[in-house]
Amino acid sequence: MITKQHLSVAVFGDVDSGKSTTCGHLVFKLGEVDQRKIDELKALAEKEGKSSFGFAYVMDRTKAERSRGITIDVTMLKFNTNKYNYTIIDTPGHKDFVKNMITGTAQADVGILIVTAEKGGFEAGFCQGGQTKEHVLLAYTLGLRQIIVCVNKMDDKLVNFSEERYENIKSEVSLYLQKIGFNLKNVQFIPISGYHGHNLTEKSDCMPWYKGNTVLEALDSVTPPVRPIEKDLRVPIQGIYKVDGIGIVVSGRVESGILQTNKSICFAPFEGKTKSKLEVRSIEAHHAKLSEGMPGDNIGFNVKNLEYKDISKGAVCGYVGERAPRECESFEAQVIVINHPGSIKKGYCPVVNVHQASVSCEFEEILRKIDRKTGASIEENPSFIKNGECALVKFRPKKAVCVETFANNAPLGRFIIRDMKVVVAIGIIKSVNYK
Amino acid sequence: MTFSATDLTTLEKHLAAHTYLSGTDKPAKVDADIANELKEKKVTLNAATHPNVYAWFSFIGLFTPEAQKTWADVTPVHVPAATQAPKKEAKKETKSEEVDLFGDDDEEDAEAEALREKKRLEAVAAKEARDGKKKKAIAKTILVFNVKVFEAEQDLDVLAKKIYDTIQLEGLVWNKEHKKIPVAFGMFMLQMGCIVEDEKVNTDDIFEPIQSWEEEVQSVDIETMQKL
Repeated sequence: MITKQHLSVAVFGDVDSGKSTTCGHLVFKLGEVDQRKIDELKALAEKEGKSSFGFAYVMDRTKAERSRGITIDVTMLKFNTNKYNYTIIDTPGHKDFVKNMITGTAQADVGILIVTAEKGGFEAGFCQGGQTKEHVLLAYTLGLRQIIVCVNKMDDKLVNFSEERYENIKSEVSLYLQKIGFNLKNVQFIPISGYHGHNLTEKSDCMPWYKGNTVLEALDSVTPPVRPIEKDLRVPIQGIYKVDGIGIVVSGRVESGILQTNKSICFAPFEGKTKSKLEVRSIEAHHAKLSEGMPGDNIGFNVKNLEYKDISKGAVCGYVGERAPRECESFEAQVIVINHPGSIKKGYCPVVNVHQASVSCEFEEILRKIDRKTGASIEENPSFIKNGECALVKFRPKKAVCVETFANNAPLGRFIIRDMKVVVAIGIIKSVNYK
Repeated sequence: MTFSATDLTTLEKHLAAHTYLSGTDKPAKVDADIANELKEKKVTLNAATHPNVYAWFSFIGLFTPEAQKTWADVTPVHVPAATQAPKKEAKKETKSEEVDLFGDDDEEDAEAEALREKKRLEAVAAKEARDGKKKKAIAKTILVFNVKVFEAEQDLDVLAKKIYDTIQLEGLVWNKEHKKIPVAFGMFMLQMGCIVEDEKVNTDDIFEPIQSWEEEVQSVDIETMQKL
């Protein structure tokens, strides 16, 4: 049996855009909804004297249930089509979400941006900027290139499935996405109603002027992510365990390359005194033995000759040789300041979170202020940078860490800068000086 | 404080500063009574002149009479508007900052921009008058995270109980249905879920205390963050 590829979808949108309703409706139509649950709700709806039983009722019920404290399982919105298995991330407004976007394991393969067509709603939400725009910008910076823009609430009384309104919004949003850097060839626009389900999984009769894809067709038409099998092995370490009768087991997610048994591996940075030959003895995932670990797999593996104190969380595993992971001396990165109360100057030394590592790094030199999109220099050697500005900065880690360039290995090349529990800036690594 | 269905000005004034007539974060009997009185007398509410009464009235109408009957009979309290106003302003400030941050670069000519801005403001005003009530909704996030321990022998149920008991914050609700997820080689990690109010709880407020138990916990990582 061929397993279908998995795609993760991040859904962006303002509070009033109808984002959750649309997500819920997609899952309701395509997800593995428990039939017994549906029947149960149907009976309940009849008892309460509600004649029309449908998606809206289910949505309200589940939302009420969810807020009372729920099982963990239903927190993941999942559905399948003939082509892919999907996981939907309904992006929260929580400020810590930015951190999760960058250091979290779930990276979006495709984005859905939901804007409302409501008169005033669109103007108040999307045009005013704010969080949705910030999320879309961050997602682009992190490598998201494919996006589906849903113009929602086309059924609104004042909108009344108007093609003109749709086209107006389309041109506004296009302009913004283009400014961020999106290639409009990879952007699809769809007029929808998340509440009534127009153009979600089936073409709507109310908008005969629209000839394009439904949301479902649009999702199935995205280019799947390429698994970096060809690249050098890199496994950032999440945990180190002592297991009786087995020895030291390390766990992590394979980001690139293939981890195989009986090969010589190494870790960077390595705190052990003698570098005795380390070897992968066996690999497991969820208690099942694996012959190898592929990119995207969360695995645990048992390492011969490794001492518990040799490595810590945030070390990176790779094969021994010329292209082994290495500890860095310093690195240069493109940084966007998103939330700093004052100005950032040379010598600032906040915490940098990169893959599983968390290390204090000094702003050794602010080389130049640059245009976010074109990369062109705006000012050489600026004395400070502040909110909204983008700059090329040389960082010096205060503790040993292994990083790579974003172009070469994205998960090891993107980071956030934190200070006082807030994400101050985000960055991607342009070049690395190794020790 | 007393209210009457005929004195819309007093109602409007009170509701501008409070979500409910009760003056607390919960609706009370007085909310139901006044709303029903308005309904019976068929008072026409104008969203432009009394936006807050309008929003409150539509919201109270969403509850069934049975639900309304359960509301407590309390004397409405009036907290002076001054204590609430700064909060609102602070919010606005951060918002305008964000606009600066990721707002459009000014490439278009000023005239078109000004016209668009005017249109936008008009539209926004209309929208705000229409559904002021949505602004009162509290944004919440579902958080699922993994707690990794050191050894296979550690009792994860005991650890989970310790976490539930120790970490209690305003705006945090535990799901109390933790799971044990196999890692490999007989090792398990503890997966837990909770719901947090965006304004009140930072993820670090939850994770830092857990990670400070260095004898028991080696790390905590977020599995998913999802809008509720």
